[in-house]
Amino acid sequence: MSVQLNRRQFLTKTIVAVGATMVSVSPSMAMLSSKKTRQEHHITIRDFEYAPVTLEVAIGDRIIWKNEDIAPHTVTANDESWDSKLMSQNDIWSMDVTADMRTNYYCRYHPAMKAKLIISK
Amino acid sequence: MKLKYHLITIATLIAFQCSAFAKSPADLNDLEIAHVAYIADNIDIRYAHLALAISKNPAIHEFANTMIRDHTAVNKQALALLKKLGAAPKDNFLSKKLLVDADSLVNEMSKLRGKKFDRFYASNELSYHKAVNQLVGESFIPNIENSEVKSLFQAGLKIFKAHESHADMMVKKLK
Repeated sequence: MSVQLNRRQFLTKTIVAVGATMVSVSPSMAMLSSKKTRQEHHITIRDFEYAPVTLEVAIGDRIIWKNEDIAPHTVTANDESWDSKLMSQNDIWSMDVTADMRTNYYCRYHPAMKAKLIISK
Repeated sequence: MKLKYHLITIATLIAFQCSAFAKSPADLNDLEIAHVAYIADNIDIRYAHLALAISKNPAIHEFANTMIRDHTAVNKQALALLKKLGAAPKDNFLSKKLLVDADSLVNEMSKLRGKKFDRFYASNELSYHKAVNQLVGESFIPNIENSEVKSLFQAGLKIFKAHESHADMMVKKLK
């Protein structure tokens, strides 16, 4: 009887110790997982417009453009620092957001088509 | 007067009446309308190639290349749709007239050089797209029977309206 009680005590103490350890490390784990979280954003090119025309993104996010128009388009930074090159109908192009990237962009072939990204801090 | 050549031609065609064929563009059937659109696209592609050959203006070249890309894409889509429907575009009075007029205009444009060519090309592109857009929007789309053909023309009209705006920007820059 005294041996079984000791085993129970031992198990109880072990469970409490493990639980206390998990509580102490969980905030750190949460921070790690939030740093790794990356969002995907989708922009549709349709009827000679980028939709949405203004998009808020975070550093590390991925932006995916899809051309749904019959006419070919591009997704080109105003300073041409990034460029999808020609996108035919149903073509997809993606890019990851960086801190120093140019945020205004347009279509090389149809200069009235303009849009912008807002990088949140 | 020459700069308005195409606009007058298209306006005349809209009012044209002939007892042997369809009386107006609104009387054309879907396959005849598809043929007119195909010819109109090819005419603009032809003008664009002429611009690439004669003009030295980078903005004219960019516009001309866009015309070739876009009109080629529309034609490819139109032919694919007709193939799917088991049909072929049908020649008609309006297609024939457009081709005759285009030949005359190419002859006139090819004699020009420098800024005279650039201004003529830009003005003609604006007039041509305005006239074709009016024809497509007011005579063709309301009368097309097949829903897929109608959708294609509606999508095409959006493209050609963007071209009209682009041509307008070009005309203003060249003044």
